Amino acid sequence: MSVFINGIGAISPQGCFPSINFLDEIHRFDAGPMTVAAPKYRDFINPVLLRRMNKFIRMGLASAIMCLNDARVETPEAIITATGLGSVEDTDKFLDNLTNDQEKLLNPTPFIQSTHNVVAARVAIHTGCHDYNMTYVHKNAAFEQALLDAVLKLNTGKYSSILLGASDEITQANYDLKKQLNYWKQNIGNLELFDNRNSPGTIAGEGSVFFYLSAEKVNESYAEIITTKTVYKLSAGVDETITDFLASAHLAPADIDLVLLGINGNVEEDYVYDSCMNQVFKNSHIAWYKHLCGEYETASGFALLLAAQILKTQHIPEFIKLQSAPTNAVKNILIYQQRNNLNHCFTVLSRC
Amino acid sequence: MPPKVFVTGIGIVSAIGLNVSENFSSLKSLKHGIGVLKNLRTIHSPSLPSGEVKLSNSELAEILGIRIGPDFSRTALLGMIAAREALQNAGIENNERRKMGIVSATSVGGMDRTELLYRDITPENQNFIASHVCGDSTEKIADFLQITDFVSTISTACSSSLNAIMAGAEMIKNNLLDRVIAGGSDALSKFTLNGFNSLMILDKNHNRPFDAERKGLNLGEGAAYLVLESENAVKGREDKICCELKGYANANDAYHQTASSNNGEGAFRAMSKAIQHGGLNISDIDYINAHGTGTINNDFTEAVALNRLFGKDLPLFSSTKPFTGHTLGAAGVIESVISILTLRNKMIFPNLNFCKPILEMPLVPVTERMENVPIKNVLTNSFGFGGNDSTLIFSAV
Repeated sequence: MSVFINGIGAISPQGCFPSINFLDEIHRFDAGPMTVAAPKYRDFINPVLLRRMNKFIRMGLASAIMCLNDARVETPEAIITATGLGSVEDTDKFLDNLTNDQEKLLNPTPFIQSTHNVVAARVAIHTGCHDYNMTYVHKNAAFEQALLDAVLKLNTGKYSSILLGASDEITQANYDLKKQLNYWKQNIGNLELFDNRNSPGTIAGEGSVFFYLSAEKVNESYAEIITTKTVYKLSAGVDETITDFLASAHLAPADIDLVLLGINGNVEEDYVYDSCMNQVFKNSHIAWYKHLCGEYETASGFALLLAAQILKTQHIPEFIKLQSAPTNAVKNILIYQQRNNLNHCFTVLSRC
Repeated sequence: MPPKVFVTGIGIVSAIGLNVSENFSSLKSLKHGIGVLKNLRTIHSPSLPSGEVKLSNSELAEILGIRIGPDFSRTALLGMIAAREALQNAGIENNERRKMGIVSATSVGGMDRTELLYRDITPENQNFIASHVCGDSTEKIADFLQITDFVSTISTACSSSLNAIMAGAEMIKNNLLDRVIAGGSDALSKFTLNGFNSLMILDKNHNRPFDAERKGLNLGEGAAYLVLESENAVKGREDKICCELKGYANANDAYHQTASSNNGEGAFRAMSKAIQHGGLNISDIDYINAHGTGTINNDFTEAVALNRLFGKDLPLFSSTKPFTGHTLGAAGVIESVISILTLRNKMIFPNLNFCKPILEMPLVPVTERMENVPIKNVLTNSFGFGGNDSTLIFSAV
């Protein structure tokens, strides 16, 4: 069985997708955090319901609706979501309230909305989807593990389509907290991130992307998902791990036309990608994406959107390229991202 | 024939014991673990009885034989104890080259550290921030047990750990892993205690599931894990097989973020799909370990769903939450371990505190310990915020 991406909806620091001028030019941020350019949420969500929703839920639900619209589907068969931190804003709010008010007279709404599965739940309620509903939360591997679940479900033929999402929000409080720990580069914008890659820290981001995955190819299909995998603490070198992973899908490094790397400008994390750039893929296009969406746990959802769009349009934006190959046609793309040399995540998708 | 998944090891820590044998002995002697909070510092400790694991974090670390810093959440410590027991119980040596993964569930993650320290960050304690995310406790367990092939975390509120078991089983059925340690861990925190208190669904006395006078739930904490193995991986160690994970399903109520629908749609779908998935009939189910939290809404809607599915042929059922409290993300796997104890020992543990059935849906659970009950298939439910409803079925081999 094959798995095709037949619809995409996204709310990102680069604007919403689908839109006519998405990534025509890069949105510039003079400093972090890179926050989403919010759509008119009222166009997607009942204003009465909207008033009570935090940003995480708004982003998640609206991008899911955009995706279903793009795929011209009303109710998905199943819903799988990924998030690293879930409802940061409401979690912080409830924690602050209980600390400030000495555990007295608390408003339950932020608590109710603080569970990690809240986006999957809201999408289920909105679409009336009673079937399989799952939420993966394993740090930067959450999205690939959700994708793997979707691929397995479609491969076994139990489902013919699945709505898959990746959402994370950044709040000022969370940004400030991690600033104290030097998670972020100071006063470095997204366009200067790569030139400042010899120091610790990255740039914060957020976003929500949904994909409508189907076993059936249609004229509008963006791409085909070939395989995905996550590994915790590599037992072999990066090169060997990637070569083995590709071999499991009957591919060799030379078959990969474009490699999208999770480079985030942090010298303490990016060294892991060195051998990819210098050795294994020296004849492929190499590109990056975190200067477009910022760093967050499920940023690889944005990478999959970017890869799918490149395969469909056969155009690689110049501002993502780190290394160019002689040929311009793109058939196979590998997305590889890791954090702190712990969770390593690999996805291959192809032109269809 | 689809590939089978066997349970070969179980491990548990809860308010009624630090391992399987202590939990079994408490269940047998009807000794519950609900009482005054000692470790968790909260103004509610006198008024909100809970199912706390009696040991402090440093005592838990001592059992594990490790030194801990501020980045060790209680969730991780409880999880490490239960997961280690499960692996030992399965008789697995770490150096065997089998593909092994862990799928762990949690709803609070490292909240117990965060709520204690976030207003008072110092250079000495600041690494607690990395332990806040749900995935951290899973990695602590993976590191402790040297698991690297697949490390995953699931969070679907109170149904989390049944979903983790399902996800682990799917990895085996799809031939991606030979063995999976699947389950979950949740520590008590002021965050969840105040959350449920603000929803006014905590009983100030001992909880009484399925009773007409039920007032709400008591929170609990704990962790439990199952070792799941493929038929191939268990070859030569058949004596370790506890039972088969026969069927499972996950459905969504798609009704409300916190309340269940009046016709119990999600619960009905989860149970019926799980029975179908296991290739079983309704009449094959011998006992149900219900979600039965003790809240007005859950017990009524679960009873409606049970009645819709089983009608007059309702099997024996009970909720064991009066023993352990509601352990949130860990509840599903804690009750899975209890269900496996039921299956193995042919013994049903009663639904404590039940007096009089719910007027609108009068179902009567098992109220006294039953022995020598012929049991082949046990069904267990977990339902969560967000309408996430899950059901597993364990079968004797």
